[in-house]
Amino acid sequence: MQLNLIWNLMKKDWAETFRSRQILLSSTLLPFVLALGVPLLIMVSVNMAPMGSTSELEVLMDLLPPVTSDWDLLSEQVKMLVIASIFGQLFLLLVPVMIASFVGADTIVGEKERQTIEGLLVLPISDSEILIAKICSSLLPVLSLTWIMSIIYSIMVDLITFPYLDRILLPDLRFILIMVIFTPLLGFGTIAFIVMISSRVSNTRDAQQLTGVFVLPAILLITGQLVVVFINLWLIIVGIVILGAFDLIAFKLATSLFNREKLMSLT
Amino acid sequence: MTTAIETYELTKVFLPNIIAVNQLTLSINEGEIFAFLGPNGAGKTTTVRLLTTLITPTSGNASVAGSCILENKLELRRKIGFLSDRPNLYLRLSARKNLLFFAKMYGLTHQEASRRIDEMATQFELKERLDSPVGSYSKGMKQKLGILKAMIHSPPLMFLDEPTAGLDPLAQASVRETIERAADELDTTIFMTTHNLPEAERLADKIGVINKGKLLIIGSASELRSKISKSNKLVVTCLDKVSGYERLLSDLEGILSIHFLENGHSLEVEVTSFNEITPIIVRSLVEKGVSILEVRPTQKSLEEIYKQIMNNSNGGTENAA
Repeated sequence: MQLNLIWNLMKKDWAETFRSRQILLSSTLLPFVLALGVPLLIMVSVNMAPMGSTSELEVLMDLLPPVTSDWDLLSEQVKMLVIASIFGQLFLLLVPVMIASFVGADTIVGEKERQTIEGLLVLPISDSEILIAKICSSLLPVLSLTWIMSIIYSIMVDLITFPYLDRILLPDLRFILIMVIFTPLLGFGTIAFIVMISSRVSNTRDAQQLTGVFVLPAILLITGQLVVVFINLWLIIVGIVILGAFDLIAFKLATSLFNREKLMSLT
Repeated sequence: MTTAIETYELTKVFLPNIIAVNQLTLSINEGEIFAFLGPNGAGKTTTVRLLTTLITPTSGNASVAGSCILENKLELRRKIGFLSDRPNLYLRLSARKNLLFFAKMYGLTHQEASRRIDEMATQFELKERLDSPVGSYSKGMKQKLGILKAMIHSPPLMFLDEPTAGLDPLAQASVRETIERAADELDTTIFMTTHNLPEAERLADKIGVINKGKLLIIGSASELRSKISKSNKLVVTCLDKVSGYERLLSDLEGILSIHFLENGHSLEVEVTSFNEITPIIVRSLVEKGVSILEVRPTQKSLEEIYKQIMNNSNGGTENAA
């Protein structure tokens, strides 16, 4: 594996991407709105919810396993606040998926559209190295952004919950595992699929449309189900193992479908 | 002399059944500039793509810079420079960043790459615009930069696919000069495709003509002339008007045609053989008291030769070398 070439290709991609203010603005604005907005929304919703009369909500709370060590001592409203803040992490998971859908879609097909694909394919770099570079050049900025967002999100949640809990809620081990392992794995697999689509279509619009129609709904559906996983530490670990396998399959599939001849025929 | 490129019955068939390159067998020596001529769709670009490992042959094989195109692809790519008919540059990046990227992909360190870029930019007069985005360059400058990109790692072999296509005459001249200087500087083998026949004649040591995927002829420009042209022309310039001697000359054996030039002092004679017929013509005219000022053999232009090859090819007569 020629790591220096992979790194060089990634740096080139970043230099190209970040020259575009449009991409920069559109990819950073939404995450920051989510990081600031979701905790505020949670706080407002919880405060406005009529406690005591919501028997169905109480039943749901009873079904959930203890989320904190002092779970039984907490009031219904605080429990709801804690649960909502955990569910809010779902939005953090969606950030790499959403941004990758338009950054990743451009990676290979963008080279075709800008008529640079021949110049890239004639370089002494293998198919899998090109794919790794393309996936990572999309994934790393998105991940960095997600991590910045997660810090902002944690601060916001702590600011809101501290008066009730008298301690810091986030980050805890569960949150760290989700952010440091779970999110990168989910991002890698998603981007691998998007890059695979990008290498099989003839223009960026097609890649974005296919991503929007097939990949995003599937990933959003899966991510939606993961909310339950977030509550239990062991389930998070199981989720990580499953995601790792999913990533491996996605990458193998992307490599086997990376066809230089097809790429050339579409130029 | 060592061979830089050797192909053996190289064939590429695209689906459903388009034979783009048909059993191409050729050999190019190290240090040669080879020009590949042919009409659009003849198979020139497909040949370049096969030899640069961008696509895989349906059958046959080739050795490029000592590496097999089927097996040692990464090793082969390290040893070649490539410029397609589009310069393959990243328009949002500066020329320096483009060159740095490609240099590093060929294994040069940042320091080595920077030194080489500065050297080349000075030598090829691009230094002042080195930090401007390539998108702001003219087509000619982009093409020139594309050639520098292809030679950034001093490869022993360069592939240039229609390097002057779509350029104005001045830009063409500038790119041509860049190719000549690149060849001189690196002593590199150059495989170029072109539609520009004077360019091919000026630059190339060896010329190949391809049509419908088949190599029709290969050799130096003079070899092509002698293979294709069965007649030779010579221009005889005299002190006096010679228009009255047509009958005298046309009766001579070995003369195919006579054409008097506008001034009446010169005539163009098409003969079967220079060595045998020229003395006979001279003697006949001198015997008639004509003072001959000059006897000059003329040769067919490459364009004429090319047309003839194409005519023969399309008419079913092959002149395969």
